[in-house]
Amino acid sequence: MDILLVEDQRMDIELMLYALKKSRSPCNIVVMQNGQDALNYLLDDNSENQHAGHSWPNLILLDLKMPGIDGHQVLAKIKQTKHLKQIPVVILTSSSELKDRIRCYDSGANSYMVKPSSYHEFKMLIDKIREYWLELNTAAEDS
Amino acid sequence: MTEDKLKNVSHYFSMLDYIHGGVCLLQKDYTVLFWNECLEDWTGISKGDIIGQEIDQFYPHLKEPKYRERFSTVFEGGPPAVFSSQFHKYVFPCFLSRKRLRIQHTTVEGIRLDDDNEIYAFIACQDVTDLTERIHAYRTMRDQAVEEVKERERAQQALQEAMKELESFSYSISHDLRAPLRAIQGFSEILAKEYSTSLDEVGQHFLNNVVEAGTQMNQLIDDLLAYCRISDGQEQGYIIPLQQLFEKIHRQISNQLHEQQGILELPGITPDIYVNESLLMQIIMNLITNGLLYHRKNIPPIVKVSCEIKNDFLLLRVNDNGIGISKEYHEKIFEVFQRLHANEEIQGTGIGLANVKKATTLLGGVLSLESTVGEGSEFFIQLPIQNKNKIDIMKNYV
Repeated sequence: MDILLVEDQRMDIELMLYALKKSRSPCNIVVMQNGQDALNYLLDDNSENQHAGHSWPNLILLDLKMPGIDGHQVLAKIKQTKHLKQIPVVILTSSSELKDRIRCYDSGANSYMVKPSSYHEFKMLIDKIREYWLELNTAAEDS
Repeated sequence: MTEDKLKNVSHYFSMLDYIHGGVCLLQKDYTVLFWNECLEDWTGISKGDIIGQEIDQFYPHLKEPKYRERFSTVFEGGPPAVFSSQFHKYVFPCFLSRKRLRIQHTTVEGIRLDDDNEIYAFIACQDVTDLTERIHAYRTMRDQAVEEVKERERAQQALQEAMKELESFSYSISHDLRAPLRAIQGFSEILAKEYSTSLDEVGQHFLNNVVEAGTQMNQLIDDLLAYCRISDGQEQGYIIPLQQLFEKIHRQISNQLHEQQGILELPGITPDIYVNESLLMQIIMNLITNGLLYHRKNIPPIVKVSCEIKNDFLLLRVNDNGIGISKEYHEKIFEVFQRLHANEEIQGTGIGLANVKKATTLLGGVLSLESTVGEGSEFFIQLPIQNKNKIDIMKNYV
């Protein structure tokens, strides 16, 4: 699996899926609609289960403001978990607040992106994120 | 005590008539042996009347145990008794005026006279009315001051709470309003781009209206958010060289410049100073954007920015060849949501200049404007340069 998207807004998910569908190369994406589900998905390993069940994503796209366990908490958990912390996490949020930015980088976010409101820009951003993190960047482990 | 002895005592103590304070000597049976002139003056009781008499006849309250017990101790050779003004107010009540009693600080000490072993009570009375009143006035003042400080602390707390509320408000603007807007904009853009063939001309026009309204709403949120942030000061942290700020502006404005087919002249040489990034950005960007936006029909906008240092002030000028602003609006345009033009003519949010004004004020600067309708405007901003060195300023990073 290439991308894990953690996002609670249905319409943002649809926009994202549409944008990905329209890009030149297809990619696998799993969507989790809240922080708890995302953590369950990522932490549900039991070690051997890990490769039998599903592979780790090559990239996590994480929204910040979600009901219940929010993006900050998910990020912190990922970066504190031995077998997850090497997965690049790109924060994709509508917040451009300084305190969110600082908090995310402090917790180990690999990148911070503010969701543009225009679809055109949104699509461009998604393409660039994909290109950079899934094609140009060399990951810690081979997928 | 014999008549002779009484006379002796009177003679012995006569010096104490000159003292400014009441003095009285009691024998063990509470007979008054001496009563100085000051006490005569205070009480209106003459030496002749009181000497040789028991003090209780004049001041029955001295029979009360709280006095009696302490006098006895003194007569028995014990330590001196002190009747403080705070607890006792007065041992010999006497009026200063109709309503005011003299406040006294009284000490009673056991003394021996030369020729016998008996102990006498030497009573010294000090008038502390003035002092007490002054202390009282001082206390009232102090209490008031303390109350005022508390009041200020309460106000400060209320202010902080209001600030917090504003912060969470702007946070909610940026998140909760933007999410549905992004959906409106995103999907209408997709429709306009990829499904336009399924719509007739009117349908397409309406769809374009949706896209346009979305873009405008987005700008409105951006500006409003900037306005909130300027007031709560949370984005005041970053200090960068002025040169770098202009480079940033140049990058950010290039798209708009291209769209409007405008010309922007930024200063070639900039003074070597550090400035507050976000506030200066608000000021200069808004003025440039306005200059480009409010241009005369068929005349490409030209915006010139210049800056210089003069007497510890940074002087900024932003000049355009636009439509100009008539004198009567020179104040009004700096208020939030004030627009002079309909949306059809020019797309503005009515917040830009309010942001300029707010940021300028926050930096301790002043803002003025000269404009001729049909020729252009020049905004003039004067900002104090803080005399801190760079390292100090760097500490201000949030």
